[in-house]
Amino acid sequence: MVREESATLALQDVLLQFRNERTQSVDIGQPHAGFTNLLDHASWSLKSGAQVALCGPSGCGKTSLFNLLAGIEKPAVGSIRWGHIELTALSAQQQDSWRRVSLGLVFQQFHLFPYLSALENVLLPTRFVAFAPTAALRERAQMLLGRVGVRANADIAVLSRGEQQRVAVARALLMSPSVVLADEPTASLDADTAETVATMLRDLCREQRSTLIVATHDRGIASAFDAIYDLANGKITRR
Amino acid sequence: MINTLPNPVPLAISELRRHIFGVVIIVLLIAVAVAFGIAVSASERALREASARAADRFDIVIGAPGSSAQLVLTTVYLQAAAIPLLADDVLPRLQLDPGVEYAAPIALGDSVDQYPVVGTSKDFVTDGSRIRLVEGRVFATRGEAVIGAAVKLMVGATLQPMHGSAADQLIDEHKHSFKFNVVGRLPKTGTAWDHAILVPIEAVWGIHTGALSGTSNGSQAEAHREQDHSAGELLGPPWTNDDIKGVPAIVVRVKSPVDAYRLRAQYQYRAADKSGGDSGNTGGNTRVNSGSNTFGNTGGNYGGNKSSESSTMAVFPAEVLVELYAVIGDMREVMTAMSFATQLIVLLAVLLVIISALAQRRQSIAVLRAMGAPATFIFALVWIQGFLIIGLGAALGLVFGWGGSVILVNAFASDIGFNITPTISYREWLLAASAVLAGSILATIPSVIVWRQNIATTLR
Repeated sequence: MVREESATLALQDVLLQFRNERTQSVDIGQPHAGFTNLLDHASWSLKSGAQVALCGPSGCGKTSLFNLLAGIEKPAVGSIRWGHIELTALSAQQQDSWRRVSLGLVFQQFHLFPYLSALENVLLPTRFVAFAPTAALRERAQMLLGRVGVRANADIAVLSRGEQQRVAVARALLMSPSVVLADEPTASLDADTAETVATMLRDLCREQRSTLIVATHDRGIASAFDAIYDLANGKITRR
Repeated sequence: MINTLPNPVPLAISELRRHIFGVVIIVLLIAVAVAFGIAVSASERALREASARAADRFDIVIGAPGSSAQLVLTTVYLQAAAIPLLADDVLPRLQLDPGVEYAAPIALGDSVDQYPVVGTSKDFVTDGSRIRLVEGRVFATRGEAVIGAAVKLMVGATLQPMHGSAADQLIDEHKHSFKFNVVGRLPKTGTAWDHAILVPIEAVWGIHTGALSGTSNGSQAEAHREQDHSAGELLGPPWTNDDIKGVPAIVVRVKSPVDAYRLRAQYQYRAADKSGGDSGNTGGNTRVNSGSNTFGNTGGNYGGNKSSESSTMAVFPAEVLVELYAVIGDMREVMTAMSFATQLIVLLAVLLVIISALAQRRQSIAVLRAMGAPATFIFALVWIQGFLIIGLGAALGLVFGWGGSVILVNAFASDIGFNITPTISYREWLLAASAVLAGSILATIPSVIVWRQNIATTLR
């Protein structure tokens, strides 16, 4: 029950602006001159455990929206709430803590650390607040690597791109986060591998009842999700 | 979690391993910069301590007026140089002084296979019975010799000295026909005297005045006859004025410090007072006789012209060394300042390299922050990397510095016959620690830059 509450998204009336470098000095004196509204008083709500795809053209603000949802960036106006937690009201330290415990992130370029083994990469988030991971977390990391089909002691540098992304998925899910955000997780993979990784991500998130939001421009990948949302002209709309 | 202490070390090390070539270069740069200062400091101290040790047994050295530093270098460190001879009455008067335990003449000029042959007395060989020979006995006749610990000859060997030294390009080189039998070996002292061959002063006088057919130009048969004859003669002290055939320097062992100061005052530049010379430190230009003895080069003026009767210079070797140390100390200060400047330049260069490398790491650091890594974790990650590089460089610098000082000291010490092993003292530890401290402080700069990095901008 607690998990269901914490994984419910309520994004209300959010204004997110992007400074336009080329025009910022031209329209001095006008309100918001030189800024583009990436989110223009947008609202969005998702139920806990939802698995949705977020689509939109390049530069429409998908990554910026993810930054808002992750508490990395603050909107100019509006509120972002995960369950009972108002992200915009948290201090920087509280946001760090929330991300460590409640959020899993998967990136397009994996962002693994090549001189750490697959297991050490998955366990990396535990080092942020502890000298060494607990036995339970170590066991879970090995279980997750087993589920994604990568050896625990595998050298990251010799893994294929698909395998690397699977390690990244295992890393994102280590702390059993209530929310998983995946920004173009399959964009740099071939079609078959992309399908495998997307399915794996959906299955694992469903098992632990995490809310999953995947930004993608791949219609095939998007079609497998519960719902597809489009981000365009600063608004989020369900397709 | 076991505890709440973050641990960026595994990640810090893995990132350093990723750039191992660059890291090794930077570590070596720091090590060389640190080693420079440590080598200078350790070498200077080792040489100073060893030279002070070497002068321990020389209470006072008396010579003809000239350079006090040269007199000390020649007698204590056996450095070949031309110094004038003393008047004949000085040694007999000294040996009668109630404050003198012994007064030993020191006469150089000959050599055997680059080992200097030093004419002296039995008292000097045993330092008034303070030294026990490790092998054999002290010479008892003109034809006998005692060798230093490092001389590669056996007791019982026969040696034939050569006039001058084979190592010197300017020598008037020829072999004496007079031969010595090695009858004893001195214990190791770690000084130039370990390489010396000590013979009776009477033998040196005899060779150089021709009484013992000093050169190979003479008849071999005559030389051998004189050799046999000399064996039965008694050796001094005491010596009379007539016995003395030239003494370049006299080493005096005193009975008390009071005697030392009295003798120094009594024999300190008495003739120079008449000629307006200085107080004995820099009188290198004072030539009181035309027949100066050139230690190691042309020592053939024994028995020739001497300085005027009262022309003497008395020095405390320790005091002269203090003056030399002052000069060396100034040089050390300059070298140390240079090494500090070098260290600072290298550390700043390393800092610039780390900061420019951060540009390439911006995204991975932003990813860590996005995953929930606290800003302190990132700060520590970058700081630890800087600290490891600088700490490793400083530690390696200590080792390099010690190795460098061994090479430096041995290169210098082999010239003066010293046997020195430099050590790392608190001063060198302090030098390395100061490099680590400076590096630790400088490493906070890139850490702060990373700490303040905007995650959203980097990830967008």
